Amino acid sequence: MHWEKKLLKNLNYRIPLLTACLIIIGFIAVSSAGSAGITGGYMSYLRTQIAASVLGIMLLILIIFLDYRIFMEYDIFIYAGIIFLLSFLLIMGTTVGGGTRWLTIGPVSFQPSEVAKIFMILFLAAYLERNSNQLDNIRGLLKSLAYVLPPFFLIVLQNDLGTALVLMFIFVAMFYLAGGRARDILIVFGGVGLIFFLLITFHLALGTPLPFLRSYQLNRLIAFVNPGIDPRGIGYNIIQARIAVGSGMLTGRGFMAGTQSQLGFLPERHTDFIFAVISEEFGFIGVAIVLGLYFLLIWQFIKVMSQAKDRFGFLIVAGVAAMFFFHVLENVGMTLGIMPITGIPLPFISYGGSSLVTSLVAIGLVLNVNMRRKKIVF
Amino acid sequence: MENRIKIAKIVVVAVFLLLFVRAAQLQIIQGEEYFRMAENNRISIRPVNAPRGRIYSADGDILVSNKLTYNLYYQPNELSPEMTRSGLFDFLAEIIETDRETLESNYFRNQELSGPGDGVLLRRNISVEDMIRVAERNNQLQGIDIREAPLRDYIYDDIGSHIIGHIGEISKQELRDFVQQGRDYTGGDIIGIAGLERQYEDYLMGRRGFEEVEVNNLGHKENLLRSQDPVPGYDLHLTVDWELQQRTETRLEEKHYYLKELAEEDDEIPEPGGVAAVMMDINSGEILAMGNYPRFDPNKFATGFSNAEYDEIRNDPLQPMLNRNTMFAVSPGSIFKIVTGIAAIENLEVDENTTFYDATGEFRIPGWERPFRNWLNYGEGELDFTRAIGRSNNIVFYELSYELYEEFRGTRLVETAREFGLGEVSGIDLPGERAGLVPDGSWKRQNLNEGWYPGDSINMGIGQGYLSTTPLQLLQITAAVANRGKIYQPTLVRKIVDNRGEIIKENNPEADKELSFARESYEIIEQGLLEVTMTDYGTASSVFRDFPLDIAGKTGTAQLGYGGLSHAWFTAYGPVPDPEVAVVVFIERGDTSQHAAPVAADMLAGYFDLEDEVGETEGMGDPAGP
Repeated sequence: MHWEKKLLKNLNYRIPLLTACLIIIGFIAVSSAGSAGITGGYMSYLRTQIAASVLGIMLLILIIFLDYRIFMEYDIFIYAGIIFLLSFLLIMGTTVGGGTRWLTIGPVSFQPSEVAKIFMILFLAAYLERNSNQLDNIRGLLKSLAYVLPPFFLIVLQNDLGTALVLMFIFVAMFYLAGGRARDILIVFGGVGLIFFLLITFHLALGTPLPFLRSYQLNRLIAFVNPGIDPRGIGYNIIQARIAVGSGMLTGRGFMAGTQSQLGFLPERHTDFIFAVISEEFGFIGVAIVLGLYFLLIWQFIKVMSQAKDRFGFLIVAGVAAMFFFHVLENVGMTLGIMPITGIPLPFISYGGSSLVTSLVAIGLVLNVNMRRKKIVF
Repeated sequence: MENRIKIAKIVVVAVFLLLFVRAAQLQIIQGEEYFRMAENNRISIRPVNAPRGRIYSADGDILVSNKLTYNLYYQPNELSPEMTRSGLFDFLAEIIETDRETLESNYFRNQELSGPGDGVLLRRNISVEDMIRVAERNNQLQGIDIREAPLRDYIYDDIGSHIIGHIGEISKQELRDFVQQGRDYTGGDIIGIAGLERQYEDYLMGRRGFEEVEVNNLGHKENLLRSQDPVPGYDLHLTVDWELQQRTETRLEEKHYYLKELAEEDDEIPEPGGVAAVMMDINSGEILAMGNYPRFDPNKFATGFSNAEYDEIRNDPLQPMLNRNTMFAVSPGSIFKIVTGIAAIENLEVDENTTFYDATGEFRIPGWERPFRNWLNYGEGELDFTRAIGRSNNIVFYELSYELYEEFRGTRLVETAREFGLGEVSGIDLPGERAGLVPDGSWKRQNLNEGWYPGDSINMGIGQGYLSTTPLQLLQITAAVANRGKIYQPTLVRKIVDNRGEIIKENNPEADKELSFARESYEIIEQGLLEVTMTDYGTASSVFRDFPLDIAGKTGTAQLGYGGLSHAWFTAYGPVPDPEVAVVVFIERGDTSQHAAPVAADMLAGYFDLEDEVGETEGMGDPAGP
C-alpha cells in the first residue's frame, strides 16, 4: 500500500534498535539466571521469552498501522475495560505467591495489571487532552486523580503495590506534562506521603494500627532502611543482591559464572533481580551498557514526544516514557539498594511474557505517534 | 510546555546519573569487599573428624575400637514449604525409636553449636533399621539428613571400664576453655571424659582434616575445591594383661556377691561396698591388672543414655563410676604397720630379734586412762619383732609408735609415711587420683583446732585415725619393700603408636625415687611379711599356707569409727626371694582382711599360671582375724 511506505519513511529506527538490544540482553540474562539450580536448564525460560517477543512484535506492527487518534474516541470504553478486567481478576484470578495477578484464558495466562498500564496511558492522554483547560489548579488534579484511584486500589488489592505505584507515577508525570502545576502535585502527594510516614512511625513506636500496608511491605521498608537488622530474614534479598552487584566489580565474573546467581544465593534472579545477575556476571561495564541503552531509549521518547503532531500523541508518549522510566528507576534502584523492594520487572529483560508483550505494545504506541508526526499527504 | 519537557529531561539525567554513581560505588569502590563476601557465601570449610585412636592390651588384644554408626541432622533451610518443624519432628518420632520432646530438646541444645548450613544434630547412633526407615522416606522427610559417624566400640563392655574410662559430648564449659587455649574443638565433638580416654585425649583425638567445598544457598555441596585428610588418633598399647584383668574383675564381682550373701544371712556382717584390686610389676611400675566392682559399660556412654539410665548410675550408692584403686582414700589399717615398722627399725634400733611383751592385749599411755586394744582380747605374751608383724599385733606397734612420739615429738612417723609417697598422688596416668592424707600437728590445729596428742601418733601407728590412703598408694609401699626402696610412677600405657606403627611415646621404667632407708630394714620387714603368710600363726596363713610360691603379705582391717564396720585390706608381693609383682586388694566395708587375701592369692595364681596347684580359697581364714 502506498501510504504505508510514506509512514515508514518517518519511522525513528533508533527506538526499534535500542529495543532489540535490550531484548537480546534479556535473553542472555534470563538464560544465565534460568540455568542456576533448576535441572532442565534455561531453555524453557528462553523459549517463553522468545515466544513473548514474537507475539509482542506482531502486536507492535499491528498497532503501528492503526492511527492512534482512534483511541481518543473510545476513551470511556478503555476505562470501562480497565475496571472490568481488574475486577474480574479479583474474582476469577489465579493466586501465586500471595498475589492474585494472573488471569487464565484458555492456554494463556497473563497479568491484567500490565494491560491496565497501557490502557490507563491511553485513557489519561484522552482525558487530559479533553480537560486541558482545567488542569492548572488543585481541583483539576483531584478530579483527574479520581479516575486513577479505582484502578490503583484494584491493583493494590491484588497485592501488587509495585504496579499500582507505576500507575500513580504515570499519572503524575502525564498530569504535569499536560499542564498541571508542580505545586498542586507536591501538596497532594507530599501530604499523603507525610501521613504514611507518621502512620508508620507511630506504628513502629507505639503499635498503633497501620492501614493499607501489609506486614511484609512494612518489613521491606524496615529492611530497606537497615538490611542488617535481620540478614537471614527480611534483609536477606537486599544483602544478597548487593553482594551480587558489588562482587561483579569492573568486568564481572563471566556469563553463567556468577556465584551469587548460579549457586542460588540471589533470590528471584530471573525476574525482579535480573539486573543483579547482569551486574554480577558482566560487571560495571555491563551495568553501564544496560543503563546507557535505557537512557538513550527514554531520551528518544522525549524527542518523539516533543515532535508529536498533537497533544494526545504527546501525552501517550509521555505516559510510555514515564512507565519505562519508573520501572528502570525502581527495579535498578532496589537492586542497588537505593529504593525499597517492590516486585516490578525490568522492561524487556526480566523473565515474564506479560511484561515483555506490554513493553513492546508500548513501543508500538510510541512508534505510531512518531510516524504520524507530520501531516500526511494522501 | 517546553519548560516542562526541560524539567523532565533534567529529572531523567539526574536519576540515571544517580544509578551510575551508585553502581560504580558498589562495583568499583566497594567491589573487593563484596567479592570477599560472595566468596564467603559460596565456600564452606567442613571439618572431617579423625578416627579416634584404638586401645590395645599388653598382649595386643584390641580393647577399644571404632565402628560405623548413623547420626540424624536437621537442615532448617531444606524444610519443604508445606511442612513445619514440629510436624517434621512428629513424623520422624513415629518412624524411629524416639519421641518429639527428645528431638526438640536436642534441636534447641545443639542449634547454637552448629554453624549456618551445617545442620543441627538431632539424634546420635540410630540403629541400622531406623536409618533404613528414614532413608526410605526421605521424600516426606525433607530437611532430615543421615550422616555416617564413628562410634566408639568397647569390645569387653564393662571389663576394665575404670581403666579405659569413657567418652562423651564436650560440655559447653569445656569447649569454651579449650577454645580459649587454642585447641581444635567444636561443639558436639566427642571427647574423653574419664579414664585413659580422658588422660590421653590429646593423643587419641587425632587431627581433624577439612574439606573446602563450594556450596549453594541451601548449604548443599556442589564442588570439592580442596581437602586435607584427617590424621587418625594414636593407638595406646597398655601394660595390662587382659587375661589377668578379666580374671581379677570376675573374682571381684564374685567376692562382692559372696559378701552380700553373707550379709543377708548374718546380721552381724555388714553389707559390702565396692571392691578393688591392683597388681603391679615391682620393677617398672607397670600396672598388670586394675579391677573394680561395681563397674559400668562405657558403650552406654558412647551410644547415649536415656536420662533414667544416667540417673540410675549417678544415684547408685555403690558409685559404679568410682575407681576405688585411685579415687578413694580411707584408713589403711594394719597395712600401715609396714611404714611404722620401717620407722622403728631406722630410728629405734629395732631388729628382727628385738622382743616385746603383750601381757593383756591392752596398751596404756603413761598418765592416760583410756586403753588402746589389740584385736584379741587377751595378751599374746612374748613376741619378737617379725612375729609381731606376722600376728599383726597392735600392742607392739602402739609401743613403737609411742616411743617414736616420745623421741621425735610426733614427727618421725609422719616423715616416714610421706617419704613412702603417702599424702601425695602417685602420678598414675589416670585422671582424678586422690592424694589421701598424712595428718600432722599443724594439719590438726588448722582443721580441728586441736593439738597433736600422743594418742594420735599411736592410732596412726596402726593405720587408724585421720590417716587415709588409696589402694594404689599402699601397693607402692608394698612394691618398695619388695624392690628394696624404689618408687616407680605407676603406669597403664607402655607405648603410644601412630598409624604407621611409629612410636610416639614410650614408658620409661626407671625409678622416680630412691628411698633413703637401709636395705636391712626392708629385709627385716620382709621376714615379718613372710611370717604373715607362711607360718601357722600368720594372719593370712590359712590362705597362703599351701601356696606353691613364697609370698610376702600383710593383712589390714581398718575400723570405721566405732560402729563395728571395717574395710578389708590385703597387700602382697612375690615370689620371695626374687619378687616380680605386688598386689593390693581393698573391700569397702569388707569386715575382715580374711575376705581380701583370697582375691590376692587368686590374682597371684593367675599371674604365675598356677591354676592347678591352687584350690578354692574362698571363705577360709580366721573370721576374727585382723
